[in-house]
Amino acid sequence: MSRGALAALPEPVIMRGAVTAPPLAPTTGRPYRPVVTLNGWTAPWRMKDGVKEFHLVAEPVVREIAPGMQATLWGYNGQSPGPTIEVVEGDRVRVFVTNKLPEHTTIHWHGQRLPNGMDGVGGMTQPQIPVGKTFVYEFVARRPGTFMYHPHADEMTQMAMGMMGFWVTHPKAPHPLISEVDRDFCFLLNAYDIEPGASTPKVNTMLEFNLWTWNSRVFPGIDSLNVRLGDRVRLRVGNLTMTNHPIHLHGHEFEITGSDGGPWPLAARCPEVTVDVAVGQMRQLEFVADEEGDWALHCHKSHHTMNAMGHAVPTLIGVDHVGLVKKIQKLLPDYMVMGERGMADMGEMEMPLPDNTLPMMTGTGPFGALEMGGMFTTLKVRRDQAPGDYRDPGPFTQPPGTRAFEWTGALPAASRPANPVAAPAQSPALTVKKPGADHKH
Amino acid sequence: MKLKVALAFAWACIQVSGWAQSTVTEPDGQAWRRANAAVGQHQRGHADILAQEAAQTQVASQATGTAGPVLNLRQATTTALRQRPDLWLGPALNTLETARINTQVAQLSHQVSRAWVEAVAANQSAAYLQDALEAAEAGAELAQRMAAVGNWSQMQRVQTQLLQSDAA
Repeated sequence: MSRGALAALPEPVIMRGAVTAPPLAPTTGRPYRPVVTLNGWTAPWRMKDGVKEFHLVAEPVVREIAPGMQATLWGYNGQSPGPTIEVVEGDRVRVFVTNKLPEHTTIHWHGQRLPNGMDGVGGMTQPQIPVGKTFVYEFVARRPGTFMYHPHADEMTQMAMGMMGFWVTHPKAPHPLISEVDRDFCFLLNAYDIEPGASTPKVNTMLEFNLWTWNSRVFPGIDSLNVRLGDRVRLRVGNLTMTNHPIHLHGHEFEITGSDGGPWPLAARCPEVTVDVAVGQMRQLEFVADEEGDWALHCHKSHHTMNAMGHAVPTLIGVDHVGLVKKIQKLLPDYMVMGERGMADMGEMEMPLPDNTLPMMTGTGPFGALEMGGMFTTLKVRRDQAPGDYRDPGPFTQPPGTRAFEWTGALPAASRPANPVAAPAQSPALTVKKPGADHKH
Repeated sequence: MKLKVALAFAWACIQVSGWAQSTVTEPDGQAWRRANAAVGQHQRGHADILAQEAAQTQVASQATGTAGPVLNLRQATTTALRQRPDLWLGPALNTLETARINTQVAQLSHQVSRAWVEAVAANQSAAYLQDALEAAEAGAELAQRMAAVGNWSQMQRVQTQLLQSDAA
């Protein structure tokens, strides 16, 4: 390729804000049905001599994690994650990568078939991209599917700081194992450890992250997935955190139709309501949204549906505080009894928090506090959601008589044995061998 | 305990005053990009920063000059004896007088030794405290810079600054 051909780079497009951009319909190149990136966007491109050209700028960014919290991260083109790159199988793709970070970087195109020198492993397949320089990656998107991109240079730091993005290669022709869907959503699982009151992640955290995010957002900052009743829906979920995430959908069964390894054969698909997405994996979930309502979609690790929490807070359930509160308040006037009846108070109480810090359990629905955070959002299935309309229709109006209700009739007395069975005098000692204490995720 | 009360007080102050969050979290990202660009200028990191500090120190030491010499113990004792002609031995003295003066010389020498050791210790102590203060000041300044780019909370900054005020 001549230097002249590269003389004019496509201007990088910078995104401000964390709204979910509408799907970017292709105006050049082969047609396809575009994806929707949750709280993200698809990078525009230009066609140059039959090559799709993108321009990514690796740079410091300020990302709103949810309203009330801004994180100082590294990302691409103004946000973290970077823009989704959408191309079609067989496209020749040229990506300019400009490094505006204070240290070198590279981009690894996770899962792609490409020439070895385009794989982006700094020091091994290419020299690192120095500060201030622009490198060019160019290859043919050979395999249709769902991929990710991320640095392979000072990788732990740069990923802890938010550098990653999504890549979708659409099939060039109808594919027997890739279905046409009405709505196609994608998001990356990522995680940050940000001290309450600070804004930059701790880059040396290995497992004890305190913000479990989808596309660098937490509940209630993650947009809902709004679909029309009867839509065939695909979710593409990639995991760039350091632990696995069982992604669970309420109200529907889905099938795993593929991964970044490609579409799965029909014989490998089975109905599920939860899929574990392991570290570095990609999963495509597909289902027909045929139950109206507001359906939770979340990671099933319950501490991943919490925001920053104090792991050192002791369990206080059942501990009587009467007579101690005033004494403790002499030293700590703000001292507040909490946790003695469980932690639900956390979802309802307004407590003083450091600046730039989200409540641990938060969010409000039509029936009260949701007590959630982190990797949680809602699939909203509506009869009257117009095709192509991705706007939030608001809370679901349930048909009368279909909601859990209070029983006001008589209750039978509980039958408990009067005297518990006496334990045998010589009970064999119960020894429990617990696994090592190093399983911290 | 004293520290804990001080921390609780400092935390209460933060809550009341609602100290402004550092500007690096402004959504336009300008301040955050500036902070990254500033550290990015030192492309070799530590080595470049040392070179820059060395250049600054050279200018500073030329301006202030260096401290004068200090007496050693022998010089201090000799100087003290020179101020006491009454303790100088002469040919006219008898044995008893010589012994008395020798005793007084020994006492003076002892006092001078003691004062000298105390003075040296005080100097070293002052120098050490000065070093400790400078280290605490550097720590507090670093904490301030950590908080300014959002890496530390105001709480963490205040904890380090309390160490500085203890040292001062």
